[in-house]
Amino acid sequence: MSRREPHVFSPAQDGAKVFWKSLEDKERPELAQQRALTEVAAVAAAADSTLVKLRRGKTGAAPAVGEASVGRRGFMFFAGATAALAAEGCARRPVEKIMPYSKAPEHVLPGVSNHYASVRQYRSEAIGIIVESHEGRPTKIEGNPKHPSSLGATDLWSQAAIYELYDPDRSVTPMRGGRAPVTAGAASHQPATWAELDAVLADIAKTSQADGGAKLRILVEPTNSPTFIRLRDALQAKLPQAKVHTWASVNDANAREGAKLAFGQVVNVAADYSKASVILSLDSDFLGTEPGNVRAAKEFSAGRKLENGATDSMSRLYVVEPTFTVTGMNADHRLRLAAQDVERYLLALASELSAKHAIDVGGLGKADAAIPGVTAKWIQVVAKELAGARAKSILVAGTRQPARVHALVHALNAALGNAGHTVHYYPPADRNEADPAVSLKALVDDMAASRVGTLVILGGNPLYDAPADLKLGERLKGLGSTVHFSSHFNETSEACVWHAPRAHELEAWGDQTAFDGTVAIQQPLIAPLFGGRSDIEVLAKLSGDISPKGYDLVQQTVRGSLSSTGQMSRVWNEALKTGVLGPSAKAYGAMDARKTEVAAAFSGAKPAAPVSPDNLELNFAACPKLFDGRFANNPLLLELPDPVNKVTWDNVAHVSKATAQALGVQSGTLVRMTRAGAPGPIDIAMWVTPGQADNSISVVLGWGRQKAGRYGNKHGFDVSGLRTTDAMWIASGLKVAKLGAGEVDAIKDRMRKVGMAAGESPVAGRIRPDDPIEVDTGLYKISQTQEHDAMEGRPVAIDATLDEYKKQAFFPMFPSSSLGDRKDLDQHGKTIGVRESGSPDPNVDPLWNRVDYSKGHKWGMAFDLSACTGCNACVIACQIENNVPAVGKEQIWRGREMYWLRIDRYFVGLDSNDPQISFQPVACVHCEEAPCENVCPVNATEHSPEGLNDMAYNRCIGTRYCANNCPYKVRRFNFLNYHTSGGTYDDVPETEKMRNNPNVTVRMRGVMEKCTYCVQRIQEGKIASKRTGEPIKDGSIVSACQQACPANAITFGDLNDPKSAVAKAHAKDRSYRLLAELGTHPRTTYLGKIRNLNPEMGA
Amino acid sequence: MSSWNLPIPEIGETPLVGEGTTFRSITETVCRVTENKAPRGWWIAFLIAANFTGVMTLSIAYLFWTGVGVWGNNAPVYWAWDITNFVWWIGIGHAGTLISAVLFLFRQKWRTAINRFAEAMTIFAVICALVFPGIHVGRAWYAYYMLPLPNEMSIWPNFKSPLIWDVFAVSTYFTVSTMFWLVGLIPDFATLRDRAKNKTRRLVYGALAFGWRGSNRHWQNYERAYLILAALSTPLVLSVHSVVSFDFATSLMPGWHTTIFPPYFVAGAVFSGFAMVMTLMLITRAVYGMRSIVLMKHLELMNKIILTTGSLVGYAYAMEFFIAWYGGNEYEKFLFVENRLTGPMAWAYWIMISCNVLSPQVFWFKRFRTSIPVMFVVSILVNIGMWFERFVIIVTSLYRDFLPSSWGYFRPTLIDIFTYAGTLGLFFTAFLLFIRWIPMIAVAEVKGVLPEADPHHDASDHGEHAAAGHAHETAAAEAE
Repeated sequence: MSRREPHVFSPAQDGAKVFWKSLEDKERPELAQQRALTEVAAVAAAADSTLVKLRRGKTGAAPAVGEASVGRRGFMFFAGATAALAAEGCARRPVEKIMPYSKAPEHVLPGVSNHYASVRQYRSEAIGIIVESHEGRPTKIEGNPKHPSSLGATDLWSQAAIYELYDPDRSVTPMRGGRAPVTAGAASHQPATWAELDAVLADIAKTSQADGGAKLRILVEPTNSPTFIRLRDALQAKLPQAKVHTWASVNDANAREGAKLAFGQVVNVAADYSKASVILSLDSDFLGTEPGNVRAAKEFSAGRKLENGATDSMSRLYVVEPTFTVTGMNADHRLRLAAQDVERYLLALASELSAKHAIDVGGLGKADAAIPGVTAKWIQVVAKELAGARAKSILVAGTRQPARVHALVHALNAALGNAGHTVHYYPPADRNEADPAVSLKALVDDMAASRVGTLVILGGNPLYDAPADLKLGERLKGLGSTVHFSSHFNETSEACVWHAPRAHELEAWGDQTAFDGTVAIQQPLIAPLFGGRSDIEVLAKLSGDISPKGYDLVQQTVRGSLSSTGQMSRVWNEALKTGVLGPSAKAYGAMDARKTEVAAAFSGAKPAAPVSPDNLELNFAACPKLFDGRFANNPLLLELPDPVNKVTWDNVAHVSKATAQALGVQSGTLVRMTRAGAPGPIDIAMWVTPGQADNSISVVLGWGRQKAGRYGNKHGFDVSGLRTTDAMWIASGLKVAKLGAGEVDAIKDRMRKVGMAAGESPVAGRIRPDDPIEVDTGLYKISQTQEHDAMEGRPVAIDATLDEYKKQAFFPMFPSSSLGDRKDLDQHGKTIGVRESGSPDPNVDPLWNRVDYSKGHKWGMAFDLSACTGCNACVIACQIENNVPAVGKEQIWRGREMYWLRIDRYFVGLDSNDPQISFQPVACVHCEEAPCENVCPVNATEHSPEGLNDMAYNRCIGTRYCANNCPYKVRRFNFLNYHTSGGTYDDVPETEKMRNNPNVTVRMRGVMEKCTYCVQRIQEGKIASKRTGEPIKDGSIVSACQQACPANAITFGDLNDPKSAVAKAHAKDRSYRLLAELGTHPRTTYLGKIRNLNPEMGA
Repeated sequence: MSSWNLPIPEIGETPLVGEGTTFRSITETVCRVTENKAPRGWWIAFLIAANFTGVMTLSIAYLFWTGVGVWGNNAPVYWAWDITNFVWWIGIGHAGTLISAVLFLFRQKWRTAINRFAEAMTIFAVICALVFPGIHVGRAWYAYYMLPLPNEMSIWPNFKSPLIWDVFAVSTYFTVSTMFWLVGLIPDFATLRDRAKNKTRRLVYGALAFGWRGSNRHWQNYERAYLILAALSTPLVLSVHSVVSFDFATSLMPGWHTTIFPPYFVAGAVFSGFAMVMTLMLITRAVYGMRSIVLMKHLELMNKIILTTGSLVGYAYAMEFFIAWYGGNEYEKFLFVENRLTGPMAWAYWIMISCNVLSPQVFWFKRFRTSIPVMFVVSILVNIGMWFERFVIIVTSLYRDFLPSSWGYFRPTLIDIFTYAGTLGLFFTAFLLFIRWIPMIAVAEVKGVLPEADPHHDASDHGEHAAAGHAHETAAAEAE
């Protein structure tokens, strides 16, 4: 928010820069450019040269230097390499040149970051963000407190978006593919110029103009952008015959259809979880992967924070779901139920409500008398609770559930009086969005019937994630004219004739509508790194605009929405500054559901056969890390531990213990799954997961990508082979067979390091284990960051029920036997221990005088275990802020993860099939009596006068003694050079160097590191306070994890300020210090987790 | 004045050297090893050992090039084979000084047959041990930060850290041991010099002999220096391993945080040191025919010490369990029962118990105590067991500590194995060179325990002892 006007990045007209070697060239740049391109093409094409073969560049994706014959360029290459090697031999550390500004740009203070407001799309939701920029390069994304979907926080994908922007495998140039059969090893596509692509687009626009677009099809992702919708409508008006299809693998079609069924129109549903006292989630991961997750987490935790102790009210969450999700992990009561049976449960609940509590939702049929796996309590008690909390309850249905379930949920919310109180409805951003599966099917049908001449695909990767029965790949191959805009040259690009880079959200102008109609301007932070185009620019171009500029297009939309154009500059500037444009839309208020239509939908539906050992269910979900696969080349997300099972670098098929026994599989067994009516089998590793519904197998989308990039290729298992248009989310009749040795070997070959294309990456060697199969057991090797699931009866993540809390406010200090049994069990169901002690502070005098921290600042932190949802946003935020690298599957398997902040997850409870979950974020707790400090022989870790346990990386020699002596095991050691593939920094792609936070040292190998409480942010705050003379206000210094946390579970501040939030948190009755009995006096405290159990539900 | 040298038959003592051993035969037996051509067996052994040393060098080069990640160390097992090997080698290095210095001060004359050997072994073992602290750190090129060197940032090492204590303790130990050894070698080097048949030998051994002429004054100074160095070394025997044990004892990790560690470590060190001396001694004695100098009596005495220290170590193991139970700390209890006695790494614990506590118990029986094959096997087992003791202490304490979320496991890599095997190679390379070029038995000292060496200048001393001495002397003179 500087004084300057926001930057207007002029999009490169033709992408490729023109370099001239002579005055003649300068005069006629197009000739020079032509020559340069033919040289690049010739180098890339000279694949069969036997003179020289380099290791890299076999994929053919990139016009790499590889496989070149020794021509002029090749000679220079080797001459340079030889000189470099000769110089390298003597260099101990790499020498990197820094170019100072020869002429400083205005308003840029080196070392001082700027912040700009922008917005990111997540499903149908827009998340307002504020981006930190250092000398023109965005390095960190934070939530925009003024934006209704963000409220100042973000999800983990927003955090990780920085890595997306600087992904070294992003597409860098338009590519043209021939239609000739491609021989093995040869590149299918050749680099082309933007000018050529523009000619193609102009040609498409021209021919479409002629026939009204009869042969033109455009495939887009669901949008919430007013400009996009405006341009799409304009295009349709201009080319009435052209069709715009929509596809996204993870979409809101069921919810939209459900709303249509219930209300006759599509609405955005916004539940206010802070106001509810009872929440029933029907297979909805509203805290994790559903749209609106950030706001939901914020409000959900607000409703459970118990700010004023046990007297506060607290909502109660019931979750019915097949497999543990982030939401299920936070449930007070959780019912594990096959996804297809959720509907049965809801019907039973509705009839109970109508029979016993006079809450009528119309003439629903009689519910099944007994649903396997559902106890009567789950119907009677939940119905009673809901009926008792009219206008204060929320029912919410998940993406996976069919439209009629959503409709019935709307009807029930209306009947319970929740609508208008806890549930609000808003107009959707895009009323005309089609059901993606239907829309894509229509497109494929058109293609089959040769009604399609040209297909333009904007974003997405339909070839990878389209339903398998559509056979999109075959259809696409038959098409003569296809253009694919995407960030990466991916599976779909390869099947298209033309590919072009698509601009990242941080590179392009745009606008997005939030759930409540609030529009935010998507403000670019940097000019497109590789000249990519945004969707709106392409759309405008297809409508005939010669050289559309994103900036103008968005401005036109904004101008059109204003009553008078005179306001424009003020409104525009204000929108850019604050990140929100104008007021939000008004909610619809209480809407009455059309009960008869809803009832009719149920009577018309054929119920699926109940699940049984002979009729296994397979359910799909968006991956809590890779989502639908679009983040598949993001090493941070690939490595991020799954919130529930802590698996990294892989997806697994979750199976319950009983079902696993029946199938004869165990965690890591490789199986082949087939299903009648679905084309491909899928091979996948099984994982026995507590809390999984019997006879129901859960998988996530987004893995097993073939052309994701150097990091993401061939990790995990692609499950789309069993996903069809009639079973987008839930499929029954699954057959599971263990893989034979030969098939396991095939997987092994596919995933082995040596089997990788050589051009992929030098880091690949570290990312993959040498052998993906465990040698002694033959099981698939899974890397987890946490292998032990039980707390062993130790007072670690301490919890209590609300009743227990009322009885004993200081419960973390006491053994749980005073409150009732708190037993722990291991994954095999063996009882490991009863918590025998609490975590009281030691009450002995120290042997020496303790340091007096009462003067100046005394930094401290508090984690509220009750508020934390375990969503992982803080983990990624910490990595981005502190340049914490991903280390690879092989290193995780060895136990060398680098997370400064990790979320520990424990299964609690007696029933290993149905455990409760406790989780606990753990970072350095900054002990006042730090055991790590006195054992360091070289004084590399020392205490600051403000109580920070500081690391001096320069001084660290890496004895690792400090990490041994750390009882919290929060110290992380660079066993290898994790920022490079090995020896030098030369093989780090330039863009990867750009993404680092310049305020934090990039640590080399052999150095210990750990959480610093974001010391760079503390220093920034102190400098600002010194400059202005104002004392540091509480809340003006926020750590990266705290900033990202959507649940307000993390508090940071000055403990010497009695009014600070963190001092108040420390003073709370349920606060405790982890392993306090060791006498380390940690500065981070935890607030014990409270579960709001319903005594009527029983144990 | 009666001689304190001589065996006292009344209490069952027998001479410390074999029947018919003379000054000359001792000199001959010991010196000819360095003068004759090396036997073929020596060359084979040397080549194998040198190869292993090469493996170590390459492993370390790879480690320096790539990072500590080439080992199996991980989080939470930040220390594994590196420190295990370090402590193991340091422990082995204990017997030498104990035999040389402590037994010298206690006038245990039987030590003369084995002390040179043991001292050499000490020095080589400490060299092997010193390899590890240097290479195990993440940035070996900055290892000198541990030394109190003046620097522009005025940062001093952290004297609170036991690792700094280690640096001083081990380097002091190494220096004093080396000096002790070299001083002890002076008369023998002089013997070699005097026997030298070519100029090189004469010059080299002459330099090493520091101009020794065997004069009374030389002997007087020599013995005083030796006594002083012995007195200096004696506390070091106790201090080095005590300080090494502080690395663990001063931490707060269950299984490390134990006050019994210093004596327990010293006992274990003596135990493993004697076992290693025994192993090497038995081989050398057989190969070079030194049965007349290294008697069964010596071996039996060593076995008694192995039995004693082994039982001390066993007592310490038992005490740890008792305190874990008696102390009532749940983490300690868990560690000993679930991490060591049972659990995924129980195999290491039981190897340790069987090798260290059970196997030496056979030495209660004289028959086994005096059986060369039995003592050889036991000495090997003790070496294995003591390696596992350090492995158990380090790895099984670390791999499952306070927070179950951070629990892990340890799997060594090939480089771990190569590095360890490589230090064995380094040890044997040095040892074989020692056997080849340096008198492996302290010639002058063994001569000192012959009856002939008993000084008897006046008549009052002519008792039975002296008579025996005279008889011996006469016999010796006749033999010459």
